Amino acid sequence: MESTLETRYGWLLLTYPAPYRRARGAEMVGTLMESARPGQRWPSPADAVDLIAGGLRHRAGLSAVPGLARGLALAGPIALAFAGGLGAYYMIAEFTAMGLGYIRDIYRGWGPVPTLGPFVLGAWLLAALGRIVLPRLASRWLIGAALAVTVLVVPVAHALDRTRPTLPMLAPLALLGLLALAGTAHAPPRRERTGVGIGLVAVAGALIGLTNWYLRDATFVSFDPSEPFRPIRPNALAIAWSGASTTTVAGLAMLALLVGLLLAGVRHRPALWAAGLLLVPGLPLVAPLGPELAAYQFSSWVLMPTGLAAAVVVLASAIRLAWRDPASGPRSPKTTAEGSLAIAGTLALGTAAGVAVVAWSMNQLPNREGLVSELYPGWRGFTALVWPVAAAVSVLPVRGVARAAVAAAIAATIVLPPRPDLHTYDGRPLGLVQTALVMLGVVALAGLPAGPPRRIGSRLGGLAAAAALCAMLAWLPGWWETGSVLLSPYAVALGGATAFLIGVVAGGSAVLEPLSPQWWRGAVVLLGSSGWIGVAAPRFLGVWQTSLILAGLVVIVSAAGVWAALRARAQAAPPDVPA
Amino acid sequence: VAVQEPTFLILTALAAQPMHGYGLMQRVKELSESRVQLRTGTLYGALDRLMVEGLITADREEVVDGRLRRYYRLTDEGAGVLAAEAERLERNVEAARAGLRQRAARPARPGLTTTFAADPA
Repeated sequence: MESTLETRYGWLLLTYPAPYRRARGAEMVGTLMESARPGQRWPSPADAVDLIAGGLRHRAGLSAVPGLARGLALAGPIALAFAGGLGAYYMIAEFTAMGLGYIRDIYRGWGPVPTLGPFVLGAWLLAALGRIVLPRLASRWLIGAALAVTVLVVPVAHALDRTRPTLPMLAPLALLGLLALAGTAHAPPRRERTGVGIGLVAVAGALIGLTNWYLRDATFVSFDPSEPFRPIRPNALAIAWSGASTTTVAGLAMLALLVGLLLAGVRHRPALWAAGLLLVPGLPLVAPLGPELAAYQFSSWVLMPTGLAAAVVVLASAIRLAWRDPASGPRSPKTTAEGSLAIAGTLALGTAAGVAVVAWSMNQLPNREGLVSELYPGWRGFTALVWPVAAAVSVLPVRGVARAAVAAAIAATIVLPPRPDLHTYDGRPLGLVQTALVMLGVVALAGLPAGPPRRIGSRLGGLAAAAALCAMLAWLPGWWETGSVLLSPYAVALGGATAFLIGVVAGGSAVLEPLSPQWWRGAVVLLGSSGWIGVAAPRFLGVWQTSLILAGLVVIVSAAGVWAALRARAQAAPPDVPA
Repeated sequence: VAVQEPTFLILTALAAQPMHGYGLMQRVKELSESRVQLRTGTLYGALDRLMVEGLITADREEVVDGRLRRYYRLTDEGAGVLAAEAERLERNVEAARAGLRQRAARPARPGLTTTFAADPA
């Protein structure tokens, strides 16, 4: 018969997920009973807390994930540098209006509004400076204080009847602050202090430069005081916000560079964790790409949940990539070149399915003029369907079926005549969308292995995540103006290329000989997933200037990846030669 | 990269021989002179992580008094990590000892007023 204590331990173990309990429960109860005092009837409070915490960590998927702590330590200083740079930029814009005379004039016409904004952004500037010069503990107190100010400004502003930064700005700041607090538990080495300083100056400088460039002939719809959700300090906050969106892109570029660099020396999981963690506050900021849209979208609260949801999907994908199955041993298939190519191919195919469905649904919704355009029959009956079908078919455990389905989808897309120009609304997607689909298809062809998927669930998950991410990113308000639907395949294809690069580095030099079949496929994946942005960029340059930054980002990431791969190759130990 | 102390102690305990959960808890407590006392949830969290990292692996199972005991052993990769960490700690200890020897060799400072005279620097 089970003793009372044993039953009570069993209750505590309910905090663990059922599959884990089945695998480990009996063993853990055994250990607990062995360590119990004779005659003990109740679990000790310390044991109870420990088990509950352990179970919750498990349910959160955090317990057995190596690299999270180091990823956090990488992400913390970056988050702090970003928040501090935002603060520095805001202070400059607010108090000196350096080079921002245009906006300053508009603002003067409106009259000053007392705001608590400087307290919040100033606190982050101080916190970042503190990390550069102060000892560990003092700097963490400053970070905690900045976090408290960011949260408390909401009730305080209400109580004092003062204005404050808008929630879409405070929320990412608070998230960055949490990351900074969690990721700065270690004493900062000199290199990190320098890094935070350089990051802060780079972010502030990039914001000043970019806003001056962008604002030379911008019109801010939401400066109209009758707008219900207008920014409360229109000048500096609007600039900081729109500048933040563009500079977050630049920030993500730096981050991508960092990831590439880290891949050379750090095992890839911490770097992936850092990237995933930073994307959570980063994506809501990056959501409105370009200042015109940012200003326009101030009135749209739809943006925040969309950005956050997309961030969650990206984080989940990063975790998925970072996760290594215990059963598969120290080197799982996905850390080899073959496995990474498969990930890139899966993401590209999922994205293509997402693009096709979004491009189809775009025509089902009223556009800005409230018109629902009639769908072009060839598109509806053919191309929009063929990509999701190809994605579904690629899951089947039949050799060669995935490649055949993708090839058929490419053929079905090519035969459709493209829409002649931007201003003809005949229900057909732009030729650009077709180009994107074909190029994603090429990536899928090169990436997906000829054989059946190793794990059906894994491929299904990759396809679904990519399609969902694409749909969410594409759903941003304003797509009809900028063709921002193009961002989503870009983002995910970049993810695919990154996955490939990770594979190149993790797999080491042994698996990727130059001019081997995998090398060629890898090159096609890289070019295919990054090259088509070059096709898109000139067309939308007028409304979507960030594509320049994005194109630069691709170049930087690719260069970093090649560099990292070369370095990994140079560092790899010579192969074991039998004596 | 430094290994956390509990992890280091677990790897150290498993280096000598495969052990089961309770045995590990006892051994880690012994090795650390009672400074580190792992509780069950923490211990199994650490074991899971080490298994994922490929540093340890499950060895064999036994049933003792109707209770399941699973034994864990160090992998070659784990032995490599432990050896590297031990070497790193050894270098730290050596540096500390060298510093202390230098300190002992220096003449004691009699008082504030003669500090500059006594200090060769």
